[in-house]
Amino acid sequence: MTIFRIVLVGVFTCTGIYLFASAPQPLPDKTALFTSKRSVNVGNMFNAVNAVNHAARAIYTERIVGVGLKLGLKFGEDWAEPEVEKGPLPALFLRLVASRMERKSTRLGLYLGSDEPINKSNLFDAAQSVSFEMMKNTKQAVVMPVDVVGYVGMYPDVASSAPCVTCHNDHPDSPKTDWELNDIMGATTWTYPVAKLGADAYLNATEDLFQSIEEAYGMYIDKVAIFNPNIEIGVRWPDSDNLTLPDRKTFMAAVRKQASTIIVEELILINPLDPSEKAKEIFK
Amino acid sequence: MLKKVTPDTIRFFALLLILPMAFIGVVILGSPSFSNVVAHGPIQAGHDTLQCSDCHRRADATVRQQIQANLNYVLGRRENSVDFGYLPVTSGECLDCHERPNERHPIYRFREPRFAEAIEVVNAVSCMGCHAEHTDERSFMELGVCAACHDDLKLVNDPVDVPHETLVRDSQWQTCLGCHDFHGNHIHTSPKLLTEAAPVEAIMDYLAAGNSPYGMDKLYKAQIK
Repeated sequence: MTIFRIVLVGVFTCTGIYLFASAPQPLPDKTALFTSKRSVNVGNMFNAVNAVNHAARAIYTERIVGVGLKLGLKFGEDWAEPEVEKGPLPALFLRLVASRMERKSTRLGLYLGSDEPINKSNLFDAAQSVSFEMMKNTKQAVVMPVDVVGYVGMYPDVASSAPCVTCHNDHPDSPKTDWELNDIMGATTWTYPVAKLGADAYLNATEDLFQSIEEAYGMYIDKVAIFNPNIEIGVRWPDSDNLTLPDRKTFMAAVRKQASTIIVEELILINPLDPSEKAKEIFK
Repeated sequence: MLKKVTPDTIRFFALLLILPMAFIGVVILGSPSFSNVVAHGPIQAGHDTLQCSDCHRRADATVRQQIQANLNYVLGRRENSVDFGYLPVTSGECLDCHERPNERHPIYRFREPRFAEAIEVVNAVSCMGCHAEHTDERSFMELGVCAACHDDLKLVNDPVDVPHETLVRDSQWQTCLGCHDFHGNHIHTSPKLLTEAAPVEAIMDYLAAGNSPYGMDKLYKAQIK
């Protein structure tokens, strides 16, 4: 048994050397995310991603849907059906973005809701209605901790352009038909599991959202590519003389440009007292 | 002269053979030819061309790093353990092939706080809330789960001979899937007469991997990636 003991000691020694003495780079601990030299409040991150989302929706609604409708493009709830030559309505565009976010590593949730929704599945529940009323009165975002979910940020959805108002007033299932410009039509809700995040996680969240927007817009552009007659897709935006659509790169360049200032401000000029203040600037 | 073989000698060589035999066993069982032997149940209908690695993906690190990290976790020198060998199978693997823009019940929507009570009834934030691989059924969902979200359903212009409001009031939840395809991917028009709805037996048969009561044609086919 002496030989056996020698072998056993040898095996343990070799295993020890294999695992520790000549050890490879240790795997990063997840807690490293929060040891970044700069950390931000979840409210700052909500402000940043909401600014990104607001930019994408505004550009899509005004420059694609608004102008496109006048040029004969169609947008509808059945846009995803294979034979239908339509694009997603702005609310459905947001849904597409949210579904793409599901595939990203950032645990950031994006939802749309209203107290007067066209689709009843978007109706606020009792708890959300209380926050929404508070938000409508103050016109400020509401950020709060919620059991299980972590943190919730609710931001006003303002009827910022004519297509928002006309489509919702004309829709046969709309429970409210007297919307006016600058009304608060609902809220965009964000969820995130923790109160603070490192700079890396902050930038990952905004980048994942940019990518999700690009993928959502790409799904529309892929659909447009099979329209008959063909529509030019390139660097030009549609205008009164030309029915063209911007490609992914061009669309995203406009979104990034519009949102970039707030992303940097929220990271650098951290306002720990009231993370909802920025919402007033976005929607003023 | 031959040395006498003692029980200790046999034990010694048996112990020495454990590692190489285990290594050979892992290599053989790990080959694709033996995937049916290793799998802990039958494969879902339509998944018969998939490889194990299509869903079971290797963790992103060397085995040595994984052992090291988990030993450190056991010793209290790090806060989180790491996946060993393979990553857990999540909805992401399902969506790689089955994601569609016309999904009627996308899982991401149920992460919203207002569905907190509903997901206690049915774990709709994950494909695995209703589906499991390596079983002989398509879905283990119960027919009453629709009530978790639709118990206040009212339609302005109800097209059905027995109004939805009546069906809800009478808790006729077993009728929902008789007209409505849960994921909305079949080319199927919901009937206007309740008598034309697929019977409960047909729905149960479909959930147990039988034929679809909504027809065989689909709007989007799964994309093999």
